[in-house]
Parts: sequence; C-alpha cells; structure tokens
Amino acid sequence: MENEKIREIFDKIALPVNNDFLIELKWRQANRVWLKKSQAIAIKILGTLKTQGKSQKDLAEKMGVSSQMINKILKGSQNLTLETISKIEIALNIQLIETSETLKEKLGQYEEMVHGLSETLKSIVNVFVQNQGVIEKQIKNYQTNNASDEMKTKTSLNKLSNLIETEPEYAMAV
Amino acid sequence: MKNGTKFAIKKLRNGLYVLELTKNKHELQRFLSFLSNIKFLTEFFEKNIYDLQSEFYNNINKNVPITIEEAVQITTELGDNVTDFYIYLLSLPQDKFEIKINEFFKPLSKEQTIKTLHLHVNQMKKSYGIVGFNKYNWIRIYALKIENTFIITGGAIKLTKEMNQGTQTKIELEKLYKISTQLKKEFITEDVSFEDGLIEF
Repeated sequence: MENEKIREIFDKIALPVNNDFLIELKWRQANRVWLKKSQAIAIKILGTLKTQGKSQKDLAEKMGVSSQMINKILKGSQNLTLETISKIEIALNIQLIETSETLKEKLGQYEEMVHGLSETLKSIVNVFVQNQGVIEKQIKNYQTNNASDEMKTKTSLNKLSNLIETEPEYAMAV
Repeated sequence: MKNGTKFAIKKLRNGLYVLELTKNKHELQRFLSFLSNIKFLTEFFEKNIYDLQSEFYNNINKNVPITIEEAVQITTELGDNVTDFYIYLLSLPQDKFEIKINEFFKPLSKEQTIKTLHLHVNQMKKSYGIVGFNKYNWIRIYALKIENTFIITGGAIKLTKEMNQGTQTKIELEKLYKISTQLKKEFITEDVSFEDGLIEF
C-alpha cells in the first residue's frame, strides 16, 4: 500500500489541520520568561508547604482566596500580580521577590551581624591585652614545669636502664 | 486505555497526525501541559521517587541523588525544548519535513542502543566538563509509523530502563499496541509496514 493511500485514509478519518496547536506552542515560547518565574514561585510554594507541614487549603484560607486559585498558582502558569505575590509571602513568611527595600533590610541585618562579631572579637583581644602579664607568666610556668617533668622522667629512665644492666633480677621485681 | 476505546485523529500537517483521547486536547497537547504543570510534576516525582533516585539516572553522574525540586525544574526545561522542537517541525517545508521526521523517529527496539549511545556521549561531555540537562533527558514522545506517515500517540517521562517498568511508559506502551491494533482492524486492512517508536527531539 502506497504512502499516499495511507495519508488519504488518515485525511478522511482525521480532524482537519488547524493552527491552534502551533499558536499555543508559539505562545508558550513567547511568554517563556514570565512563565519561568511563575514556575519557580510554584516550586518554592510547594517546597515551603511541605517544610511547614501546611496544606493547600491552609494557604487558601490564610490568603483569603479559593482553593481553585491556589491550584492555578501551583500549576506555574499564572501571571501573578504583586498583590497576590505579597499575600503568599505574608501567608508563608517567605520572600518571593527581592526589591531594593528588602535588599536594604537584608544588608542592614548583615551589617548588624558583622558589627556584633567585630565587637565580640574586640572584647576577646582586650582580655588578652589587659591580662598579658599574667598570661605570659602562666605560659612560662607551664614551660618550666614541663621541662622539669621531662628531666625527672629522663632521670628515672636512666636509673632503670642502669638497674637492668647491673641487677636484672631486681629490676624485673621493680 | 481500554480495548475499543473511541479515539480521534488530528492532522498536524501533511504526514503527521496525533491521537486525541480527550475532547479538544490531543495527546501531545496534553503531555506538554503536564510538562509545564509544577503541581502535577511534583506529584509525579514524589510518586516515582524510587525510580528517580535509582541507579538508572544517578549512575550517569555519581553525585548525590537528584531532588524532586531539581527534577521538576529540569523537566520544565526539557518541556521547553519539546515546544521549540515542534515549532521547528511544524514550520519546516514539506520536503525537509519528510527527511527530518525520519531522522528523528527511532524504532522502540533500538531504544536501548540509543540510550547506551547517550550515556557514552554524556560521559565524554562530562570528561570535558560540559554537563548540561541532556544527561537527564527522560522525555519521550511516542509515535506509530505506517509506511511514511506518523501518528503521535503520546508522551511520557521515562525513569526506568524498560518501558513496562515505568508508570507513564507502561501506559504509553499499551496505547501504542492498542491503537495500532485498532487502526489495522478498522481502517488499514491491507498489508502495510507498522512500526512503533519514538520521535527524539
């Protein structure tokens, strides 16, 4: 059976070509940039719901929207408004988009953290400086004690090895 | 899909048709919607976490097992590739389309060989430090080839070695068999060459 005949059969039984599918594909391609963002938001929401042990119904109630709306958001194909994004952020206590304000806030938090760390470091250094004399004395004492202990051990070992050489039976008993 | 299920065939272009089981949404449309639906993808990977984190994909790259979030993100990227591929395929002039579609169609029995080849290429890419999403190319678009006419029957995320081991691929395999049987019985009674396979993008 020739290929043309096969196509004739299919053309008879098939619904005719319409460009809807190609239009749909081209729409997906043209809107890819914001669709990617919507998908990233959906992934983050689903992950957060799992971590926080919340259901989609909980989120809908907290946001004051319908379950159908949450379903649409979680598909990742919803062109979300800033209002909706903010509602999600509040309901889940997460950050979905960064603005100069939120970045400033974060920067402020980091600066505070760095300031706190440098203050702690300063106070540690101060303790050392103020007690330098005492610390040096303690280190010296430690070194002297250590040296004297080492000497004592060496002397004992020498004595023992002499004893083994001169009086092995007595040494065994010791 | 039950035996004797009513189905429609939609013409995408001369020589390329697609199966329609749900009204106003053919199987390629349905699969592409699935590939961009974060909620459905998350549920799918949660359900098939064992296959996702099994040796089949993870021994390509001996890193920590892939997470569901990563798998969802990779799949949406692959879905974009499928979209671009079909825009390309539907926009080709007829003569070029006839050549290209034959290049992209791979008989199912050879899939294992193709897979091995993929692995080999990816290992090479890896040794040169070029590792992209390709190593996780788990998307398949299945089609029947009758002489030189193609009927897309659907698509699946293939996480297992054999088609009858995966949840989606098993359904697609049955669909290929049932549709070809029904077509042979009702429409194409003469002896023609029927081949089932996948259109690689």
